[in-house]
Amino acid sequence: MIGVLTMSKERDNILVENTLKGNISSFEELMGLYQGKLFNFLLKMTASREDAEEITQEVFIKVYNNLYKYNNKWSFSTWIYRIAINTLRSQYRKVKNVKSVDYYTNVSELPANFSDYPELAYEMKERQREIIRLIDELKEDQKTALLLRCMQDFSFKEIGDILGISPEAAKMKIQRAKQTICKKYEKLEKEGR
Amino acid sequence: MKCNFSFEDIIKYSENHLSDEEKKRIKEHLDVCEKCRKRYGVLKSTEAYAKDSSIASENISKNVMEAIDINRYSKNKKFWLGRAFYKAMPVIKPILATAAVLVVVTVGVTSFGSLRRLINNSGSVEPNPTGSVIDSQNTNPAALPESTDSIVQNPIEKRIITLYYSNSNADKVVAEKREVEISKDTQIERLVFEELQKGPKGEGLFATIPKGTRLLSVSTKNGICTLNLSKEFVDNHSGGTAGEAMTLYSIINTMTELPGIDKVQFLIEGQKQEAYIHAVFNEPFKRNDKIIEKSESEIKAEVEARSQEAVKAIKEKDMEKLAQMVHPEKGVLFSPYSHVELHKHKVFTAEQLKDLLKSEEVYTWGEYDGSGDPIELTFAQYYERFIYDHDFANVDKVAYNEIQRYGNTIVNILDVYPEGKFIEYYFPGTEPPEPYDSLDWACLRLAFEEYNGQWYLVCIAHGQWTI
Repeated sequence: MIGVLTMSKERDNILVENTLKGNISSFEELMGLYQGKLFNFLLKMTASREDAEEITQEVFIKVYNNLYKYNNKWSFSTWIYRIAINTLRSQYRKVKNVKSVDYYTNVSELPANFSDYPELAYEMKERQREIIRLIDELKEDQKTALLLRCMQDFSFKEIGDILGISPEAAKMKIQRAKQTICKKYEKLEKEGR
Repeated sequence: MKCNFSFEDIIKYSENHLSDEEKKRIKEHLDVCEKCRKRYGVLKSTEAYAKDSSIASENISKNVMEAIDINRYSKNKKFWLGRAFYKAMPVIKPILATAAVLVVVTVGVTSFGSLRRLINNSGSVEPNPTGSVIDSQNTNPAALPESTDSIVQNPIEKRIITLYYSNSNADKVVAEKREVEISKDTQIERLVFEELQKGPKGEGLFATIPKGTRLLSVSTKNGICTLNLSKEFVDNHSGGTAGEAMTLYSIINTMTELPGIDKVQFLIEGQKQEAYIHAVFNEPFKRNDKIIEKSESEIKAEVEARSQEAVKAIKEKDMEKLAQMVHPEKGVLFSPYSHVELHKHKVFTAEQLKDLLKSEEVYTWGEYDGSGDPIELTFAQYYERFIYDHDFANVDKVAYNEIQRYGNTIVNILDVYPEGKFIEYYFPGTEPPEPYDSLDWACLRLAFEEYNGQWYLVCIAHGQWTI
């Protein structure tokens, strides 16, 4: 696992240096490596395809224009997410309340495996959209930490780097996010049915 | 039903962070506890949602490629150079200053030849037969009251003396203390001079007195110490203005450490000479404290005091005061971000700075970090946004010559001003409950360079998390 990480770090650094030498295809390659992950992260953060696409583009433009200032003391993957979050913060404030309703209805069925508990599987499938809403309603920082952890397999240290907090604080945020979702779900159940 | 498992246990189980035994225990519990089972379901669904990925539109990279200047780095090698070779890059000074240095050097070289001839001529026309005679006259007619007293009391006395040697750049002299023994009949001036001739003990220091130089005689009168030196002092000097200053001031500052000596007069073979190598030589020299290299802690104290004045002037918008602190040759550079760019960022002279706050003129200060759009603001607007956007004069964290937070950008202030020192005022950012605790940190860095013994402002750089 460490080997793979080191390799991707080295690969990123080579692509960065080559881009800075004027090799534009290295930048395209770099973009290819990160665009899917970044888009999906932003999609979940914004709950809007258009916003996510727009912000992803903006992040890459920023990355390109500021690449010469990139400090390789950071790993490139944390750097790019940090830029993404910052872009999101400035952009998102403008669009925050205009969430597309389509988003929730269009989410595909999630492949959670509850084979031991058929009735649980059924319930989760039924309530999928409500759970997504709960995730969406999390405080921005908790949501970010949670998604970074679950989606990208970032370590607490890396999440801390991205958010500018300690690894312990990052871990705490994720823990709280999970608790909040479960508590709210329970509340919803009590009130609902 | 009673439930003995905590939330954390279920979270750990859902993350698969447990030993097989623990897993089994919790699995058994889930089978019977509906509440925990549901929690597990919600956690797993959350994870599934996070991991679920849709395909990103191909337009993203297409649009990016259209928006960026694909030749940004190929046409402009300076980005690449700037990144890898900061240290090799010379500090770009205003063209005028460089030209001035060239003129001085040229004049120096021409006059060097003629002066040298002059010195040699006087030497050969008037050979000095009295050298050896003076050499034997070791008595000091104007005895130093303090030293003589103590010498009389103790035939052999231990004493700490301070000697000055050249540093490796030959631009400053450095003090070296040494303990010596003085006997009753020794002249302290001679002892100190000969001790100086022995050369430094410390590393990185250099002896300054030309080889073969002999102290023919020495006497002190009315605070002036007259050193009568042999002609080797002139003939064997390696030349050069820097070397000359080192030779003279290592001697002058060493001698004036002695009580009762304020000035030093040099004689060569008993005669006053008009010039040494370049320096006027027929008048007594005063001590020069500015040429003494300061210790790191002295420098730190000076810069800190200077910076405190500067940040106060900035806070109070006292442009007159601030202008007085601006480097007379380099002016002051305003960098909107941590990455100082000499070719992009605005530089103002002290004179220009005075009325800048009132000016309506819109300047281009560089580029916005994110968009790359030019930062077009009046100075007053720039001040609000990129200089004093927080109360930096009253922040808790003030650091000397060290970077407290790197952010994501290369902080290159020490690469751009390798001779300089900087003070960083760090605003840690608003605390929670705002999201992203410390992403809105900011700092103000004031860089100073020494010029004629005073620290002057060369750069006001703002740092923040931006892109």
